Amino acid sequence: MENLLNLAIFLPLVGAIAVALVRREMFSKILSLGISTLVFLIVAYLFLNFNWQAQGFQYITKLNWIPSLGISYHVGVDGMAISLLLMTALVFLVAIIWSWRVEDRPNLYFSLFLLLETACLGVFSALDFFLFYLFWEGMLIPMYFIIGLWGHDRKVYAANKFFIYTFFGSVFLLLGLASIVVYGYVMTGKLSFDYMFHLGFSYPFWLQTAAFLLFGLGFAVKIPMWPVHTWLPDAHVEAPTAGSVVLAAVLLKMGTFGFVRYSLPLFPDASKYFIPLIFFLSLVAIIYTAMMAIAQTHIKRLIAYSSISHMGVVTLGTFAMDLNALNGAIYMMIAHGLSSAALFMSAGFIYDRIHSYHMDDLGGLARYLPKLAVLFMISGLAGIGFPGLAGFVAEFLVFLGTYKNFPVWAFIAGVGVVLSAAYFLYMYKRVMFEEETLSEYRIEKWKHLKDLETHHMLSFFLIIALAFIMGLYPYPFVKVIEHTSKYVLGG
Amino acid sequence: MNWNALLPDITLSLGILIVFVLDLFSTKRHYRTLTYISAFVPVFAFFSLFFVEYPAKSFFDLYKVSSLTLLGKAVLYVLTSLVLFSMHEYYEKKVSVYTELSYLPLLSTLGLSLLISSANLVLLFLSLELASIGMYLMVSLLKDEYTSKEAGFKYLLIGAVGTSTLALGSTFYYASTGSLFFREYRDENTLFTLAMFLIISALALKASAVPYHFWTPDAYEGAPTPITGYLSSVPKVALYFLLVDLLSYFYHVKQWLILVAIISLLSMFYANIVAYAQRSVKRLLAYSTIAHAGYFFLGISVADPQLQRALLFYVILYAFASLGSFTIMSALEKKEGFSHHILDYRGLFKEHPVLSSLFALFLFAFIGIPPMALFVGKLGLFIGLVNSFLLPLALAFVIASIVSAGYYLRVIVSMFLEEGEKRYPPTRVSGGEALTILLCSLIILILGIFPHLLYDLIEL
Repeated sequence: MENLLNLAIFLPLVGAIAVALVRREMFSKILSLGISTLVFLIVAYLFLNFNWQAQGFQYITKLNWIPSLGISYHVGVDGMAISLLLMTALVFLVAIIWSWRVEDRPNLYFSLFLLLETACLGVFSALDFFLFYLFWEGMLIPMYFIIGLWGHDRKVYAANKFFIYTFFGSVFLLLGLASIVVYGYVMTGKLSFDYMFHLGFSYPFWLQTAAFLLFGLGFAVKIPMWPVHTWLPDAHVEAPTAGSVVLAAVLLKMGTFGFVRYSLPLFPDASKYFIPLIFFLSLVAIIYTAMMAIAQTHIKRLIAYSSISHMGVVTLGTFAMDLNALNGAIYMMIAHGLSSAALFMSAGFIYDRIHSYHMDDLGGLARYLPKLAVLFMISGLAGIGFPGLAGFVAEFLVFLGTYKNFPVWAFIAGVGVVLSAAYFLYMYKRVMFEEETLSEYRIEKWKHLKDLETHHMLSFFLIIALAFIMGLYPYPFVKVIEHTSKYVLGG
Repeated sequence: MNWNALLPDITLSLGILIVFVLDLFSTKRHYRTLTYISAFVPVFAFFSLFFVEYPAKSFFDLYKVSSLTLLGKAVLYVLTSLVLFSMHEYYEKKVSVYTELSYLPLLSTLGLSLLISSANLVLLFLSLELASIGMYLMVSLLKDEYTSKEAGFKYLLIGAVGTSTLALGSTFYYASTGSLFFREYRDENTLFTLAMFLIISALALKASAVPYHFWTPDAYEGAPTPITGYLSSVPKVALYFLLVDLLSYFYHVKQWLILVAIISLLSMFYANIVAYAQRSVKRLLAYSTIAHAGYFFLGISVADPQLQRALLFYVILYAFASLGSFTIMSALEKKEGFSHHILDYRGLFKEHPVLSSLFALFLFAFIGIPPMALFVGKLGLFIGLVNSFLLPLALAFVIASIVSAGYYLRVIVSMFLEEGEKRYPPTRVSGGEALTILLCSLIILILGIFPHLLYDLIEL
């Protein structure tokens, strides 16, 4: 079992090297599909075998790595990590299926995606600060090139902005890591980067505050929280579809994951102290970016803003100091991963067919792409928290929990969330209905549009199936997630 | 007299003499053979290191051997050998063959190798001069290139100022302590502080830290590219090994921390900002060297074994990354008309996928992205600085390295993400260049994943 987790993490890395070296394009596609399927199956198997009643991390591997610096290769998962791993493996599988028809340098493309998959799986399973940071930064270079090489018109600008923002955050994160490691060294005389080792400490308040801010800056850029969110719309707009899918579904979760895994348990007092700040930023994110989304005419930019808004709900739930709210926040990470992946796939498909993301160039598509219209609706409903889909459970739990401790904040946030229905339905109307905007020319051009192909359908099916399962039968997922929430909240 | 302690330097000197004599009897046709012969000299010197007993002193205690000096010498020899293996084809393509070039790098390395071991200001002065004079010559030896001569002249003039500063500092040191040996000297007096200030200034000049950096961009840009690779790697390693050694004699001076902090802050911020204005990649990397000098000076701000170990680790890996990137640039420069202007790098990925990928690897390493080993050095410096309660300096370091990311990225962008018309015929990478580039990148990657292989060797 332990080895399966390691296998899942490093199989994509081996695959990435193999794919980069072969010349045959078909071979590289089949290889990367095979590897991502295998990884998904392994992770699903681990998920099903996860014991939510037992305490502590599971599937642990600990090997000495750099003894003189107290660094070990230490991986393992808790309930949150295994759920996120499941979502990550699924999203990468879907991204690779979706990119089946990619024509521009497919070998390099698939190789970078597999590299990215290793980094993402590694971030969620690392239990050593050094290892965590290695994976955390490891995703930077593949994503940079995915945006920069396969992006749209302003890809270089977007890729650079993405790189510099993320690097900005992560260097502060590194300094934060260094400062708590040094504190551990000064206190015990033992240099250790191990997460478990540091979990046992109670740091003095000044250190908690400083480290919380340093860590928080790193995580906030990745989530992204207002006001360091401005890289996200650009990165999404310019990234290729599969890149956007992975970015929205997996990369953003690293930040919120970091808050739950590191900030809350390591710095409990500072977390309480900074609740008003985090809540304020979350509310601004929820309401302000939702309003920004309403103002967009570029569909990908709109979805990007909606992501920021939803991540605001996650940070709100994370810091509400309530079991239900934290469960909801973690649930939301997965639910949002699924819904945003589906939404970006829809937007990407529209671009593939119509070659535009602008609402003015769209309108009346439902008649020509009926299958897409249905799936786009379902994805959107999953995003806005429609009952029966995963997002509903998540939002319900978050607001239930937050309301108990912070009724006013929860009320304002709840009002803000209503806006999400507004922007999604508005976009849907402009893209799919509004047949009156159809010109003769457009009808002529669109008559022969090809609807979803098999690989598209398969991708949508995988995502939406999980969204439905999580929406209709949340019990096992909530139980698995609660495994984390309980120890994070000290229960 | 303990001859055993001197073994590596004697090996090196003998090798130099042999190459020198061979040079007398050979013509330009034998240039390539000569460089290959001299490339093996540091290899022999490297293996002779294993027969040296340490700790030891020799030469009337002027010369000392410790595990640290041996490690420093080992790194110097490896780097020098790599430079010599990779340099010949560049000169042949440039039609600028001087057979002297086969032993001049060895001569400088001999100076630097003595520098690491020196326990006395006289030996320090002499060895530094031996190294510098070789470097002045190497910088200017490029036929029919005005910029190379200008660079050499500028380097010579400013280097001479550095030399005289060092001599003046030594005088004051003698005046205050009554000896030219480095030793514990606890008295606080103005003369000693002045001596410290002058000696550090001279060494900062050689390490190209602001405000003593003025020779660096010109010398780096004008010098033949393999020599730029030499300048940016070998002397830097030697200087920081020396500085770590000197630290134990100077750190107690009240002004030490302030002085070092000012030098490093100025270097980091000045160089990282000015680098954005550069159009030439070679010059850009020169500013990157200055910025790194700033980072490295942080490592000697206080005496703390953790900090100095991290510093030496960082410096060694930086030297390999720097040598690797300049070797790639010299391989590219063999193209007709290639000028290192940033526009020349456009679309390089299509033409030379392997070269440009490895160049990107080195640039990402400079930024400090894991799993490249320079990241571990950076992390070590963070830990050391926080451990010594120098959080403000650590924060400045963080900000400076964020600032620096942009200009490295610009080179990567133009190589990978921009399209360039094919203006120059593709270049062939010689065997020696391939060896150097591959070895440097492997070292960067392997030590990034298993840093303790080197880290545990640095014993303070």
